[in-house]
Amino acid sequence: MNKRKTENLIKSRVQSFVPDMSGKIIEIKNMNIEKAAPPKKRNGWKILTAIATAAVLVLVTFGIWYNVEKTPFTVYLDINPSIKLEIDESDTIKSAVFLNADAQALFDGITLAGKSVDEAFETVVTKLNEGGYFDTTDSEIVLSSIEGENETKYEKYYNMLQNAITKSAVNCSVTRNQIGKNDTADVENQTVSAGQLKYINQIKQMYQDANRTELAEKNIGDLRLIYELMQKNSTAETRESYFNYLMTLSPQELRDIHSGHNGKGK
Amino acid sequence: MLEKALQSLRRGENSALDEIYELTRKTVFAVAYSYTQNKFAAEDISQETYINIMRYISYYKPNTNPKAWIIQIVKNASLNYLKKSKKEATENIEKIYELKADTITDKNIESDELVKLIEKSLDEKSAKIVLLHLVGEMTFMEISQVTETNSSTIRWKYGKALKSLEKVLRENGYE
Repeated sequence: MNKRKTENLIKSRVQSFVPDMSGKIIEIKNMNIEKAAPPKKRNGWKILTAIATAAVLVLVTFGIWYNVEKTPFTVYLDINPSIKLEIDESDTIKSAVFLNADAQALFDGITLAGKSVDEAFETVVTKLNEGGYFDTTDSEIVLSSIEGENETKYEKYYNMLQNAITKSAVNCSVTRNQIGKNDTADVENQTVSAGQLKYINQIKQMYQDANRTELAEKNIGDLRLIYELMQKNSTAETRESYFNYLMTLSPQELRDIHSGHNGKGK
Repeated sequence: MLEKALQSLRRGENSALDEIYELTRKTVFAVAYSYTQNKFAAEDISQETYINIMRYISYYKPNTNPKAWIIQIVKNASLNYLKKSKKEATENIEKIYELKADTITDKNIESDELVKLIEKSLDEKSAKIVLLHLVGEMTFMEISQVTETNSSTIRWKYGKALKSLEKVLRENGYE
């Protein structure tokens, strides 16, 4: 039995563990529940924000209408939530796909399509900050493009993301990455994220027998630590055993060794 | 979908509670169960949660994180439940058990047995993570909101727990 089979077996057998409460819900709907008064609104700044947003939307819509070039530029943002953004010629988000469950949960109800890239990046950074993704000292967003894309544009978006981070005063670096055209299918299917691919490829360059499927189960932060530790602490002779050892460690143990708080490094 | 349903409820459309219930019932129940380890208490807490959703809907800020808001309500309801005196809680649970015994079916027994086996085979935290993920259909990030643990640690613990469960399930005739 493998991991997936075990998961499916448990899922199928625990279906009836959650009781059917639809009868109770009907009762609740018909109860005369006194609704709490809405919290008091404090300032008029929300109205101003709404007007500003409306103005931006009008401008953005105007921009889209004038858009001549139809092929969007694709970038992927990874910090564990994984997001795909398609950007049109007027630097407006054409579509946003929240690729993994963490991204879907964090961005539930958030619409990025129609926003300018600047605005969208600011929203993304704000939400990631709320989600606690910048709480560690070595936070990193991997910004990936697909090979063959316009490098000047990529640099422009890289700088915009840096600006959004600086504006929010959060502690995070942006790392450049490019994925192969053949990898896009795996990224879309969520087999692996674009950011994970960066470190998986680097790990496999050092130790080619490293199992890509097993590595894809680790999150991007752990993959980075494994890569950096292998680079720092292993030689060609010790690489296999050191890699196998690192794969058994918990995220906290990896962080401890990486920060030199643990003697198990070599 | 959840966002839309909450906004409808906010506008006074009580019928939206059906959709909110369908979209969250597993999560709500699993979170309540993770606090009490008791199905009947979890059912009571779930009921209290949906009443509180109706009561405090005006406090929901549209376009934020609807599931996180609901998880917070279940957490509060669970903590309130646990605050009650143990004696009172036990008496209530026994009464509820008597009342609901006739609704127990073979399928319930099968799922209850599997949940008990998971709880017996794993440490408390790992069992909680497995049940929140597989019964509550919660993401690791949502689980981190309940367990107040880093989502990477949760992912790692979950992977380890599944490996142990593979063996346990095989030994207990689950194929």
